[in-house]
Amino acid sequence: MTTLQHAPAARRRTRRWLTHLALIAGTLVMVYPLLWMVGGSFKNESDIFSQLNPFPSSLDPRNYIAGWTATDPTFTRFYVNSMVIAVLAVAGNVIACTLTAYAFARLEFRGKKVFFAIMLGSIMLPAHALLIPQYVLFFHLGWVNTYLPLVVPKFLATDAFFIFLMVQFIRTIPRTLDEAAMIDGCGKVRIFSRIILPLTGPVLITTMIFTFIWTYNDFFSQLIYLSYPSSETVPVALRRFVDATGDSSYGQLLAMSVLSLVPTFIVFLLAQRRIVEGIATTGLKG
Amino acid sequence: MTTQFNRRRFLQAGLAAGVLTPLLSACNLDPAAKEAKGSVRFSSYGDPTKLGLRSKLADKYTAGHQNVKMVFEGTATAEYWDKLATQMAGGNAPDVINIDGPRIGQYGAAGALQSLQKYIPDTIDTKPIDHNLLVQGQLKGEQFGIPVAMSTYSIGYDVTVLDQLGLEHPQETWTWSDYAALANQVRQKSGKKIYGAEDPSGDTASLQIFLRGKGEDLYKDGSLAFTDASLTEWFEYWAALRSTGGTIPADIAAQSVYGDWPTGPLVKKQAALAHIQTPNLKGGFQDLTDHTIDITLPPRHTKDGQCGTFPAPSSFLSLNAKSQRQDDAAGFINWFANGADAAKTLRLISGPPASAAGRDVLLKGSDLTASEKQVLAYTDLALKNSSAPPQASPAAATAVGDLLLKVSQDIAFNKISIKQGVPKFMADAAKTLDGK
Repeated sequence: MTTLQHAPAARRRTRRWLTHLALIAGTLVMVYPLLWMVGGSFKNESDIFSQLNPFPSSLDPRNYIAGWTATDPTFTRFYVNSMVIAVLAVAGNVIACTLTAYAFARLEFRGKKVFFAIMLGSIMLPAHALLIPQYVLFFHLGWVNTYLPLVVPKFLATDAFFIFLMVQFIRTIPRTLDEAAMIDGCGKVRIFSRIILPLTGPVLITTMIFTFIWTYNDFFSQLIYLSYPSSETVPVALRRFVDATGDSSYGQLLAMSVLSLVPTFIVFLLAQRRIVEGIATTGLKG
Repeated sequence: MTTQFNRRRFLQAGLAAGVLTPLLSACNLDPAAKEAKGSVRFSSYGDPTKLGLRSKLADKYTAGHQNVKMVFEGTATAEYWDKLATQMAGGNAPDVINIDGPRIGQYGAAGALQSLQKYIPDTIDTKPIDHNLLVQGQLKGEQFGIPVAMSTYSIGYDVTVLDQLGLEHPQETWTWSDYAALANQVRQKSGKKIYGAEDPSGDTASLQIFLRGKGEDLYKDGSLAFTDASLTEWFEYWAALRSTGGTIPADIAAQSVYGDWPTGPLVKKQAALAHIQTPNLKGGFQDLTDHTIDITLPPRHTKDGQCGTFPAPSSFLSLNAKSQRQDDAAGFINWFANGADAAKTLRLISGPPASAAGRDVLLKGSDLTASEKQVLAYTDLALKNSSAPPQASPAAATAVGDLLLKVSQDIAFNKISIKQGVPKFMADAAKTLDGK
C-alpha cells in the first residue's frame, strides 16, 4: 500500500523537477538578450561585439554618465517630459473613460446603441488611417509642438478599448445596488460616485497601468508632434542613438536602453498581480 | 436637497475642469514653438553627435545674420522619413530640408520641393562642388538638392594583420587578381588563423564597382545594365577565393549583414579586407577594433583600366516649395554647403564636405585626426579616379538587392550552381524591375 502511494509521489517529484528544469532553461533563453544588454552597457565600445561573454569585466558606469549627458538637454528633461505626458494621459483616461462607461452601462439616452457601435468601430480603425487628418487638424489648431495633441484626446475618452473594458465591468455590478441607492434619494451623479466608482477598483487599476505603459512606449505620435529637443520624450531621444549613417555610440545606447526600461519595470513589479487580475477578471464576464 | 447637492457637485466638477484647462495649456508650450513663426525652420537627421553639430550651425547662422532666425529640428534617421512625410502631407514641412537622393526624386517629382535653379549662381554657388556630385541632386537638369557631404566606396584593410604577416599594403592601381593574391596570402601566412577577405558577392554596391570597371553598371533606364557573363565572372571570382580560404566561408558570411559593421568580419578580426563607405571608417570600424585600419581604391580589371568608384552625396539640402522664407533659406543652404564656419563645425561627420571650398578649409587646419586625414586624402584620390555617377536607382533596387543576396548565399552554400543561379537571378530581377 505504502509502496503504491510512494511510487506516484516519486514520479510526481521527478516530473516536477523536470518541469522546473525546462522552465529554468526557457527563462535563461528569454533573459539572455537582456543580460547581454545590461552587460554591454558596462563594456568598452570595442568589446561589445567582439566578446561573446555577456558579463563585463568591470562595473564602470561611464556609458551611463556619458549617455545621460550625450544629448542637449540631458535625459533628465526627457524623463520629466515622458512622465508629464504619461501622468496626464492616465488622469485623462481614468476620468473620461469611467464617465463614458457609466453612461453606456447605466443611463438611457437616445441613440445609445448607435453611439456604442461607433465607439466600438473606432477600435477597429487602423491608427495610420487617422494619422494625416489628425495631424492636419492639430496643425490648424496650432497645437503642433505642444503636448496638447498627446493629452487632450485622452480627456475626451478616445481610448475605446478602456471604455469597453469598463462597460463590461460595470454591467456585472448588480443593479439592485443602484436601486437601493435610488430609494435612499441618490441621483445619477451620486450613484456613480458612491456605488459604481468604489466598485470599479480593479478595472481602474488596469486602465492606469496600461495607459501608463502604452503612453510611455508610444513613440510615433510623440515623434510627430514634438519637434524640439526640450520637449522630446525618452523613446524619441533613445532612437537617436541608433543610427545607420554615422558614428553609433552602442555603449551609451545600451546604457540608456537599460534605464528606459526602469519605469515600466517598476510599474510591472508593483502591479504584477493586478495586471493579471485585471486581464483575467474584467470584460470577460457579463 | 438633492438638487443642491447636484449643483454643488456640478460646481465642483466645473471647478476641476477650470483648474485642469490652464494646467493642460501650460504644459510645455515650448517657447521655441512660438519663435518658429516667422523664422526659418531647418530639419535634419542623424545620430546625437551629428544633430548636436547641425543645431550649433543653425545657432551660428542666427548669430551672424541679424534678420534671420534659424530653428533646428533634429530627428533620428530611421523615423525622419515618416515624420517628413507626415509634415509634408499636413502642410507643415520645414523650410530647409535635409534629404537623400531617392527622396529628392520622390518629393521633387511631386512638386513638394522648390527648384533651386533661380538661386544659382548668385545666392548658391555650385562651382566648388564636383559636377559628378551635383548631377545626383538634379531632376531633368534642374538642381533640387545641394550636396553637402559625400560618401565614397573604398576597400579597407587591416594594417596590423598585414604588417604582422609581412605583406605589402595594396597599391592604388591594384587589380582584382592582386586582391585575390593578397587575400590568399593572408590565409596561408597566418597559418589559416584568419581568412583573407569578406565575401561581398551578394552586395550590390560591391558588384556595381566591379561592373563599372568593365564599363557596365547595375541599372540603366530602369533595367539591368550588365550581362550574364559579367555576373558569372563575379560569382566565379568569389567561389574560387572561397575554396582557398581567401574569403570567409558561407556560414560566417551569412551571420553578418552588409553595412552592419559590428558583426562584420573586419571588426571581428575574421578577415583582413572589407569594403567601407568613407563616413563609416571611424565610427563603424576604427572605433570598434584595436587594429589599425586603412583604406584604398577598389581594384580594377587591369592596371591602367577604369576604377569603378564614384562619389555619392551622403546628404543634400533642399528647399520646401511651400516655404514662406525661400530667399533666406537659400542663403542658409549656400552658407551650409560652402562656408568655412560650416566646414569647421561639421568636419567629416557625414563624410568630407562636398564643396572643394569646405575641404580646403579643413586641409588648411592643423588639427586633423588620423582618420580624418585618411578620409580626406582618399576622397581626393577617389574624385580623381571617378567617372560619371550612375543614374538614380529604380524603386525596385532594394528588392533586386535582396535577390542578389539570396542567390549569392545559395551559391556559397552549394545549394545551386553558378550556371543555374545566374540566369535565375537575371530572370527574377528583370521581373522585379518590371513590377511583376
